[in-house]
Amino acid sequence: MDFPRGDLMFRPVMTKTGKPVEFQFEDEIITAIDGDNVAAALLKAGKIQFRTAKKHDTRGPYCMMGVCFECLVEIDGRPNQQACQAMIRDGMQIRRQQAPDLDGDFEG
Amino acid sequence: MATVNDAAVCVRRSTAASKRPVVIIGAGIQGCATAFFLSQRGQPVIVLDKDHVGRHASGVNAGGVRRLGRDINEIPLSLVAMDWWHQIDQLLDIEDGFHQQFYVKVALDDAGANLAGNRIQQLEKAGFKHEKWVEPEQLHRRIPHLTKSIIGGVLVEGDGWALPWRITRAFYEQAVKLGAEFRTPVSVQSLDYVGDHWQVTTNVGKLETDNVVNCAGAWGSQIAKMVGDDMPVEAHAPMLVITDRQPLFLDAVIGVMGGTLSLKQLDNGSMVIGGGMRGVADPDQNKTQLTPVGLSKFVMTAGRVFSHLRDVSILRAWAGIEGYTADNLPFIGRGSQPGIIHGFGFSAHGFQLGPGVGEVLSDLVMARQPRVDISPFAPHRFSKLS
Amino acid sequence: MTDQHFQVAIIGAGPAGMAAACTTTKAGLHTIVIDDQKDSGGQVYRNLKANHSLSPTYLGDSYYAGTKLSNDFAACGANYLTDCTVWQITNSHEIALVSCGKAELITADYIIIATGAIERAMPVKGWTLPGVMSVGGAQTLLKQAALGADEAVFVGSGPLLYLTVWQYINAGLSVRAVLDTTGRSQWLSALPFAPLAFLQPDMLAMGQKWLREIRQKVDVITNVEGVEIAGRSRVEGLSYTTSSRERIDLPAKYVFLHQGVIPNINLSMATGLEHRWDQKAHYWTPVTDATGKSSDEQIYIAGDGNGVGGAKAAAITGRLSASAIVARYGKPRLMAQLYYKLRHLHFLSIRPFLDRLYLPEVRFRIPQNDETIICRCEAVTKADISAALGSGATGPNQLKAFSRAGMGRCQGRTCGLMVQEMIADHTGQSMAAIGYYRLRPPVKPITLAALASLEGTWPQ
Repeated sequence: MDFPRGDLMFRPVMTKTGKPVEFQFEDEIITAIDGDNVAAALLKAGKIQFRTAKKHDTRGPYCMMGVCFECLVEIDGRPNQQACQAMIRDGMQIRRQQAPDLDGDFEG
Repeated sequence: MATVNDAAVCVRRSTAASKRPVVIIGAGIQGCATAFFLSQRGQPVIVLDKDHVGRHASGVNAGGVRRLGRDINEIPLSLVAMDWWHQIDQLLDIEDGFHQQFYVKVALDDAGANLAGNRIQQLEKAGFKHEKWVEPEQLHRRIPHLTKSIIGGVLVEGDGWALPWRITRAFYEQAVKLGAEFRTPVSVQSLDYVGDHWQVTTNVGKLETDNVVNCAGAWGSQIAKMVGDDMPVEAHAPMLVITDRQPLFLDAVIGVMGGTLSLKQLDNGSMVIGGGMRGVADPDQNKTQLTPVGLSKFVMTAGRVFSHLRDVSILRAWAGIEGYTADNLPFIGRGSQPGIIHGFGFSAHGFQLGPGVGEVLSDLVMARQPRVDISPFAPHRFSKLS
Repeated sequence: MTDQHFQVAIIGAGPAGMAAACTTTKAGLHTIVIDDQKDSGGQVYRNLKANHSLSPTYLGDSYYAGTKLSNDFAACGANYLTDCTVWQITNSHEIALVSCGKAELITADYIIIATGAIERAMPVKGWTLPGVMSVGGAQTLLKQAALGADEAVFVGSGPLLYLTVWQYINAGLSVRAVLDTTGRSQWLSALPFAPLAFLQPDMLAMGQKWLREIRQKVDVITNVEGVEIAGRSRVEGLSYTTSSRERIDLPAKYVFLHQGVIPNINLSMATGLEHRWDQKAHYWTPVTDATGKSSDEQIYIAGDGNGVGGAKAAAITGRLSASAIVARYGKPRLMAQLYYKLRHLHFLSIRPFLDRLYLPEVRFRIPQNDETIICRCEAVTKADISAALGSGATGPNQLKAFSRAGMGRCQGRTCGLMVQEMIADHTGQSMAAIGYYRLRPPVKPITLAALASLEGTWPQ
């Protein structure tokens, strides 16, 4: 498909200064800026698939204000964390959340 | 309890006016089950409810189908009901209506264990052997996630759970298929004995009938008062919570000896946690209020049994309005006037009894002798004392 | 927290809550403000303090208009709890909170619920795919994290959509297209109210400016219908029908949807307060008097949660409710109240026009396609709801039991009005007669350990 600007993802529109923090998403180490929320940090890294609602039904952040519960991820072993409400911290371990007993269907 | 005389009167009347449908007030589990059994026996029925089918406690209780822990006087009725539960799928044309597992009330401490010991002794004396003591090792083997501090429990094999709303609805649907008529929302304003039958005045008109069955739950006292029966119930709102879906880990229903808890896991992974902690009921307004401290009490008890559930979220909490009697036994039997039959006041443990109660109440309507002794549930047991 | 009792508890630190707190603290009332976000400002002034130091101009003047209020609030001396969710208000005015995983109960003489608005759902085919966000969500990312996505397609209607597109292009982001779904019938019904809207000339002028600048850089396609989003496990493109009945396919990685905002009534409804159906604005609002006093004498509703009026109107209603409460402590402020009332009426003068213009037509309020998901949490489709209606569900609560719609974590916030409208469609009853989901605490999900913490420590 034709995308005028190559591999599009959310990008910063101004230079934000802040302490860099490293976190893990699935098997990947990602750098973010202290003060970002988890959803923003993931989106900036091009990750938009956060969970499955059921098989072949992938979801990502939608409302970004804590209302829709679409951005749920597992943070440091705790399930059902709203990524748009949680702040990123150094060393955080984040995993996608799979609907129980169902196969996931993620593509990156 | 039905006397021979009552039965004779009733037979005469129902023969004389068999065209007039029986009027059942209340479309909860008891009203729907009674409508079902009466319809099955060819008796025309009209069910009235001021709200809709299964709106209150019948639709939103914890769904425990248990013989475990019942008052000795209630056990025969509970056993009769259990016969029906074992064939509930054929009876109501549904699948997996009854999740037969086992039900265990665990002992968290010595006091709990003593309660359990006394209970089993008492039952054995009365000739009942369905409740058994289980040692902690055996419990942990069957329920690996149980907290290590559990010191045993009382268990009944074959008890389990059902989805209350689904079962109540299935009784309703089958009754309708067999010809029963449901009119909702219709509220009864007065009951008057005119000549040789009852006139039921509702907000949408009048009905004539020979038999009125009062299955009005928390509102049963008000209906009883209309026919001159003083049968007090207090309205309370037992609270429940439901959690988000978890990996399946539990195929039993868990209670606590001497505590308030009932905990089960549904097929979809959600857990239903309740156990009788009461919220505030406002039966006149159809409203309930949950009490935060009450909720936290039984949730804490859940934690004492399954500490691994700490991060599980509660998605919803609710409470259904239920009528409680002074001795927590229901009212089942004839009223003081002819043609009146009562079946309410189940005090938050009537769901499992439902099919049995339906059978018994339809027996009473049709002047048959019920299979079980219903004298402990006599409608006038409190007024006699006073 | 050491204090457990307050004269005034304000829930929400958006414009209404901040303004209310300024008023009650100035009158010397012992006040607490509880908010579930990390910073004050609500959605409209989100992250204002941090942005202020960097002053990105792309957010526009309407955003920085909140600076004074935000500063006043910071200095007002109210107790302020951030990151804190209110999950129940009882009849005895206990407020049940959870903060950092611990539950707590506080009490207050008076409560102001200022929980703002949420976006109306725009259920088109494929709207659950990753890469589809609400326009509000996209704007939040811009305000909070200075993030934007190039070549996004904005679809829908309403002032927030145009403001966000304007902010996007000002931030140097390319916008693929704006697909405006505002129909001709909406213009026709709004037009008679245009004269009233001229009482707010600066707002109209601002709207005009946004539109003008957007049209210079972005394709704005009007009278769009039949929007469908395609993709397997993320957005790959979308298609739509133009006013000349042409079907257009557009590749896209990000699609932002918007159909206006509605009051966030979950807390006020779960508290058991009376609500009414506003047929013109097409949403539920609490029943209140002119000062925001609800059906519970001790509880006031301020801001967009009591009918959408925008940030400036919200701040005024916050002051109105707060000064009514101050008056009940025997400190009447009649002139101030009159002034707030007039200001409020002034701000509302543009609403009849906006409400009619931007109330989406029914084809954008309920899905047109059977496979489209209505309840996102439980993945319940339009076909599932139709089936439940066919098997006899007559109201939203029964339908919940039949279909599971509204039983998920968001507790019906997204699907509530859609389900209600499908019932209206099926039964021919009015929206008011059908009613809404019976909402109960917890207003947001709470963990077992957090709830149990009212009793003690969770067992190890």
